[in-house]
Amino acid sequence: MTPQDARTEREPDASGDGWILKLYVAGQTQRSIAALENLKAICDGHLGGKYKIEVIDLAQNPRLARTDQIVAVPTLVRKLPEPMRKIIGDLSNQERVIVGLKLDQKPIN
Amino acid sequence: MEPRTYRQLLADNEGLKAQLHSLRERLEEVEETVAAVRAGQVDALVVSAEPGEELYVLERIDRPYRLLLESMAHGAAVVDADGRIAYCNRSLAELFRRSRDEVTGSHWRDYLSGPDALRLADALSEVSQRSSSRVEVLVQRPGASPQPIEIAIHPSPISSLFCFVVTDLGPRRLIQDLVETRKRLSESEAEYRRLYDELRDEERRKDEFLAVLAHELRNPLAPLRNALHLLRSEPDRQQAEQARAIMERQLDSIVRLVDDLLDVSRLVSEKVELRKESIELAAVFARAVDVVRGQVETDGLELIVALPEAPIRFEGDEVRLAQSIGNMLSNAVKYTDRGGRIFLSGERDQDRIVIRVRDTGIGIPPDVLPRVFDLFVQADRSLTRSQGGLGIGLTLVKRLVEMHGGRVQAASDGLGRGCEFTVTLPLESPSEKGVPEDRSAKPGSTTTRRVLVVEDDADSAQSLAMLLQIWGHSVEIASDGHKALDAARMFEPEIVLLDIGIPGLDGYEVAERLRAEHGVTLKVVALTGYGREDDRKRSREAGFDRHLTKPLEPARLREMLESFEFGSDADAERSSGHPPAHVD
Repeated sequence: MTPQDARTEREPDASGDGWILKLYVAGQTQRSIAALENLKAICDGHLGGKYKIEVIDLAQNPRLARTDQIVAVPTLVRKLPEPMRKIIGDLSNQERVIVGLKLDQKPIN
Repeated sequence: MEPRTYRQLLADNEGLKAQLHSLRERLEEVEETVAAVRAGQVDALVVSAEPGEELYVLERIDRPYRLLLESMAHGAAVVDADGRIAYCNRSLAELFRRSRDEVTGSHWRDYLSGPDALRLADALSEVSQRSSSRVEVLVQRPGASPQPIEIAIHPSPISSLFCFVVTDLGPRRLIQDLVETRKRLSESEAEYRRLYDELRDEERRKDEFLAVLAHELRNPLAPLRNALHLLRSEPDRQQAEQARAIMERQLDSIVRLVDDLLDVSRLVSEKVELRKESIELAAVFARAVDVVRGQVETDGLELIVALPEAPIRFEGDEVRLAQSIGNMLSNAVKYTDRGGRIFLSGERDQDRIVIRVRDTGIGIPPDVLPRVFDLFVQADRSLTRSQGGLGIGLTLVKRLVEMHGGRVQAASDGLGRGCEFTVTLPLESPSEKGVPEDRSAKPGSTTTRRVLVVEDDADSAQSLAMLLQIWGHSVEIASDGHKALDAARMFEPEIVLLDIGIPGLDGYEVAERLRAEHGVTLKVVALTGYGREDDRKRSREAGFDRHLTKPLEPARLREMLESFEFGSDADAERSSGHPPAHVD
């Protein structure tokens, strides 16, 4: 199984080792595009195929911010595994993302 | 401490720890958010507000939109409910011919006339949260003319603000003008093309006319030459008489042709004046029939004239009306074959006179019928050659009839079915001018007069002198103005026939001097090649008694000479009140 397959096709299971990440952005800004690319690079490096990224554009519908109580964009939300964690900004600081998402505790096996 | 309490304390402690952890995490999140905002890593902030969340975009995300706004050709502004401009783009400032700083914070009414400002306020008040509004106004600009603009007013997400999109109507108007102008241009182009075609058509008709004219003028020359030759080769009495008749007829036809041409040019340039007097329709008919009588006999036609018994007397120019009817008769003669019939009738119809000329001739094709009175139009040129004629006769008829306030119409059932011309004249009752003189009065007994002929063309002078001598007058000839004055002193003429266009002194001056030297008893007659109205006027002013147009018609000349009254003459009782204005 390749990582690409996992990302696009496989339903991550909530109880297992699947990750669900939500990236809140506002329009196609340079920062939001950079945030998505940075996130993909980090996930591919640390999670293999066991993750799913959902991009939510608040420029289209600001109300979606309510779900995760977003106050600024871009914001990355780790929905699963719990507990929920948030990282704000363009995710350019890889160290900070890894620490923030506690990725270092679950390296690729 | 009881164990339960201790456990509870422990539990409380765990709870507090968890709370602390949670608080720490939330604090971390807040700190992180603030740090990210401070570090400029955030595009937008989400603000909770009624009715829902709104996205407050930080500077960079709206840069493309701002760029779009700044580069677009339309003016754009954010305006408060009072009409104050909170923001304007570059195009609007340019349209206003002011700097952006000036425009920002200013009020819309600063740029509008009073009424326009009111209309804008009305339009603003009409804009609701859901609907837009539009208004056209003139914007007043420093150092430039007011510009028409259209303002589209849209509601904004913030209820107290409005978005204005401003369209400069100048270019649109310009384009509209251009489209209009282009349309008008193509219209006038079509008009020019039509005129051009008309002119070309006319030109073609004129060319044809000239060809026919040359033909018509040359036609009489051969018989004239033949007849002359005959006279030179000692003919017997009968042959001489025949030659003379031929020459007379051919000469008449040339004279008529030239007269018609002159008439046309005078009518076209509107130099013909009618000499209206009380006339009788029968007299007009008689004069008209005279024109064609010979031709009717020669061609073996029958001419039937019908008039009511009661005379129809009316106001008109007898000569011109007779000419008109004569032309219609000539036309009928021309297009009717041997054995055919021509009808001329006149009748009174209430307040009108209706004159009809009908024939059993070749008729007029329907396509020619509407143009039959146009200059140079003839049914069929090739046919015309054989029939003769210039295609001007009917044009003369139409103009002359119209000058009388009447109308002329042509009708035909088609080729071979003959045609009918109908002239309708208003029946004007004769004015109090009195009875006209009888132009066809029998000449009285011939009296010998001393006549001086002033003419530089030797042949003309000599032939005229011979004619006068044959009539029993005593004649002298002078070939220029000075000789004329000398001859007048020596010869003491009673009548001077004076050509206007002579060398030396011109005819007008000679006339004035003759008048000065010899007084009013001397009769001075002008001879000119032009029958134009201003020549007549000038000759009257120069003191001429009469005016004759060349070529002279001997009968008329004779009639005129005999009509002169001389105070000393015994036969001066032929008092005709006033002399005829002109004889020609």
